[in-house]
Amino acid sequence: MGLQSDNFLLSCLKDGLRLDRRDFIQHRDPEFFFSGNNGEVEVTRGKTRILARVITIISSPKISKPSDGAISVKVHFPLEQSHSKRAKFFDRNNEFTRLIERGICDSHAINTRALCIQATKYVWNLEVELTVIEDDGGIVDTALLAAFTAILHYRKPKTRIVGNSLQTLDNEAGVPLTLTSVPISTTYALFSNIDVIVADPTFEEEENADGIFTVISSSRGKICGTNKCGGAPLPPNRLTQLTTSALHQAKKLHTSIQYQTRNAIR
Amino acid sequence: MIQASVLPGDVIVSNVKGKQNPIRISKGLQMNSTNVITTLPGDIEKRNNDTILLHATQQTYYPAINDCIVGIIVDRRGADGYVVDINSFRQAFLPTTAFSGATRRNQAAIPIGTAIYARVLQPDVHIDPVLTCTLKDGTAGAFGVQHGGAVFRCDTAFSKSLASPKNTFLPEIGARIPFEIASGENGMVWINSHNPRSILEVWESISAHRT
Repeated sequence: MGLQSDNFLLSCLKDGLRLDRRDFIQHRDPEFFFSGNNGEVEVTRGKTRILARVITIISSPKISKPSDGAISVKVHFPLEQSHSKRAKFFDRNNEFTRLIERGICDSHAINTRALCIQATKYVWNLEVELTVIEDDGGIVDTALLAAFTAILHYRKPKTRIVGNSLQTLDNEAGVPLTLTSVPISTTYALFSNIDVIVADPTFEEEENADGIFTVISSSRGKICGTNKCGGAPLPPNRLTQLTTSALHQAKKLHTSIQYQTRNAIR
Repeated sequence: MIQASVLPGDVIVSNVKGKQNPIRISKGLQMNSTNVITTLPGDIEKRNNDTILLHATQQTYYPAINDCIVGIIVDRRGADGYVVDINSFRQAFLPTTAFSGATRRNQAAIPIGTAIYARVLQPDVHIDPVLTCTLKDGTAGAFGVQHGGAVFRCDTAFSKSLASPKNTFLPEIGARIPFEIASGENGMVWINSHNPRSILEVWESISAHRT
C-alpha cells in the first residue's frame, strides 16, 4: 500500500475506526476446518488462512540426547506476495518463521521424552508443516493456533518391538501426543504517533504500524515469550495491560481449541 | 451474457479452422492452430458467434494493451519516471513525459504514494509494463493523478464491473454519500469523499455488491 492509503489508515485510526470495523481491542475469531486426515487442520482468522499438518517419522536419536525425540517446523509462505518489495517480505517472513519455531520448539510445550520409543535406538521425529495460504496479518497467532490444534488432533501410531525390529501397529487406535501446555500467541500493533494500540492487526495495519508486539503465553497463564519489533515505545503500564489481556485471550482460545479438537476426533 | 466458468487449460473452441469468420479473442485466451484455450480462470462470454471474452476473476492483474488501470506510485526511477504498483506480478513504469503537456523540461513532480489512473501502453512479460496518462491523441482525458482518497483492492472482475456503464448501484450510493471513484481492470479501486469515514462507508456499500 502506498502513502496515500497509509494516511487514510492512520486518519481512520485517529477517528477511532478500523478498516474492518472492529474495536481496537477486538480479536478476529478463529474458525477450524478439519480435513479428516490425522493431524491436519486449516485455521482461518478473517482473511488469513493457514494449513497445518503434523507427521511423525521414526529415526535414531541424537547421541547427546539418547532418549529425546526431535521437533521440526517448516513454514511455507505464498509466492504471490513476493511480487513487490521482495526483500522486505523476506525479512518479515523470516522473523515470523523464527517466532513460530520459538513458540513450538523452545516453549517446551511438547514433551520430547515422550517421543522416545527405545532409548539410543528409536525415537519419533515430529514434523509440523505450516502453509500460509492467505496472508492478512496475524500470521504468528494463526500459525501457532493451527500448529497446536493439529498436534492435539494428531494420534501417533502404536509401536511394538519384536526382537530387534520395530513394528508400527497401524490398525490399532493411536495415542495422543503429550503436551505440557498449549502456547498461544497474541499480536498487537503499536501506532506511537497517534497513540493507538490495536489487537490482532490486519496486513495493512502491520505494514503501517510503528511497532508490533507479540506475547506468547501458555494456557496455564504463564508467559512463554515476547517479541517486539519496530522502534515504537511501550510504557510499562501499557505493557502489563497488554500482557494481561493476552493471557485472558489465550485462555479463551485454549478452551476453543480443546472443544474443536474433541469434536473433530469424535 | 456469461455462459460458463472456466479454469486455465480449458478448450473453448475445438476446431478453429472449420469456422468461416475469424474468431476474435480477449486477454486470457490463447489460439493455436486448432483450438482456443484459456490461460486464466474466470467466466467466458461469447458474442456474435465470433467474439470470445474472458472475465478473469483473480487477485493478480495481467497487463494488456489499452487497459485502464489504477496504480500507486511506489518509487522514482532515476530522472525519467516512476515505479507504479499495479497489483501485478511486476511493477510498472510510468515515464515523467507520459502526462498531457509534459516535456523533458516541463514535468510535474508526483509524491510517492499518490494514486494514478493510467492506461497500459506496452505490456511486456519480460520487462516492466509501461503506462501512460494520456489518450492516443496526447490529451489527458480522464487519466492523471488522483489527489487524496484511498485505494482498495478487490478481484479484477469486480473492479472491471465497477467501470462498466451497465453498473446501476454506484449512482444509488452516490445519491446517499457524494464520492469520486476511479476503477480499472487491475483490481484496484480509488475512492475519494469528504472524510475517511464516508470513504470507508462507500467502499463497504460497494463491496456489498460483490458476488
